[in-house]
Amino acid sequence: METIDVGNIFQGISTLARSDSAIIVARIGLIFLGILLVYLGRKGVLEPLVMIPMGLGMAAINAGVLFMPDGTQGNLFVDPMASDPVKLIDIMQINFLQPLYTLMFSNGLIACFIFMGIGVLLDVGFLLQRPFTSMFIALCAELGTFLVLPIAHAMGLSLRDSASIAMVGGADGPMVLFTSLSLSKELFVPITVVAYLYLGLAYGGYPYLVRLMVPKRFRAIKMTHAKPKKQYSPATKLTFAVIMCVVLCLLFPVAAPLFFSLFIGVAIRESGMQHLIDFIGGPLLYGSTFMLGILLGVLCEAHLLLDPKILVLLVLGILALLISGIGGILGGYAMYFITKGNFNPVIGIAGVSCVPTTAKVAQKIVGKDNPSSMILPEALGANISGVITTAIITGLYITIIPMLENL
Amino acid sequence: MLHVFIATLLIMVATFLVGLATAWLIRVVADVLYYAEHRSLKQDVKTRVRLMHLQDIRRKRIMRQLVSSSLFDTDMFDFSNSKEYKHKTSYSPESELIKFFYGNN
Repeated sequence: METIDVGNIFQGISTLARSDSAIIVARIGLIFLGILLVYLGRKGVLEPLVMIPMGLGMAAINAGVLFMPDGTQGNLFVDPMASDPVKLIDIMQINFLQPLYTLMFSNGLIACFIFMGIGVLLDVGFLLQRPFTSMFIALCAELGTFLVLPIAHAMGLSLRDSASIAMVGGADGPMVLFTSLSLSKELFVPITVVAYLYLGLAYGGYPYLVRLMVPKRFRAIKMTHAKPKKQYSPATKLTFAVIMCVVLCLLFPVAAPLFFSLFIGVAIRESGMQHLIDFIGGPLLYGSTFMLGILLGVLCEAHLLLDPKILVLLVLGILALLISGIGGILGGYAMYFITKGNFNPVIGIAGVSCVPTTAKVAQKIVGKDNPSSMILPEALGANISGVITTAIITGLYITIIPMLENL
Repeated sequence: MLHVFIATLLIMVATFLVGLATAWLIRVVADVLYYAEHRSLKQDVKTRVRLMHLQDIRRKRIMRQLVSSSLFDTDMFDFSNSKEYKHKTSYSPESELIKFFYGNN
């Protein structure tokens, strides 16, 4: 009579028992990290929209490992490394998240959907009212994106990988996704996971950086305007979106899908097509963010993340975000001195283009120290400019880095 | 390594230049659109005021016409045979107004 192997029934446990010690530790660690992310997302310390599905996905993928027919260990969620078309078709019929990953995530479609949603939520009027200030702050807040490139190269990463991880400093998830897809396919998964993990942390971490760098008397500055700002009509904003979309696509064709997605959102908002605004700003944006969170979670699989480069990426990612935050605040101080004290340096943090998280963070911090101070319009202007500057750098990196490698 | 630092520096400068050029472009586009819109609005208001003024003149002239001539005619709305009508039709713009309101007959 054939004996029943209990391990075959509870394969999640038996795969754990038959793995290397490093894998065992990584799997258990990631399960607990996933649960922690759900908890912190629920508490509001991290961005719950991404962190709750990501945390649960991370815990589930590391718990749900099983033996595949060929004897190897695998899962029924997703195989991010599959690239052979025949194998891919087979996998798509088995792994339930594979169609989403292959047809939406790895080609950047999900990033474009999120950008459309952001476009629908954006009021470009804030940018039109003060383009130079907003752009200056945003450029300063890209400091990490520039400085981490040579640092990463000095730490042994290739130029392409260095540029991809440096993009984390731009704090723009879709841009990181797009750059790593274009420049370093092999590190695409870990870089994207690191980027989104840190973007979630930025929500909780940046307030400490601001409080550390900006004393209370500066944080409480209430800005005054000598003359009222121009109010732009929806027709003006729509025309602006069309012109900017065409010009930026003309200048940076590599980032054209992202520019198009952002400005189509703005165009729809300013056209007043309420059904589309409701759809893109609601189900499409939230649906895409939810799917992105789930996919990022299931990509945090122990085997995949045990790449020796991961630790380096983790250090570089946080360094990029930290330097960008510092750069943004320094830009805020520069504007404070230029305007002879009529500028709140906290706005600098909003130059880090994590739309609209950093703008919200800036207003929240200022509102605590001086409830009558309203900096949200300026912060949103810097925030939107941050998206444009990050897209410019994406275009420059994708164009220049391959050329540099050939030197 | 040196070439990476130089390249990074160049990319940084290029980004600053492109960024500031974009800001300038945004300012120009915003200003042009803003003034074009407000100019057309002003123009719109001017045209409306002028039209109202013209309508007012037209109304006053017709009333004057009616009072001065037609009230004493048998058919007060038949201007075709009135001296006033014939006289008025010889010059513009009142003749045009009368034509407009009562036709060529």
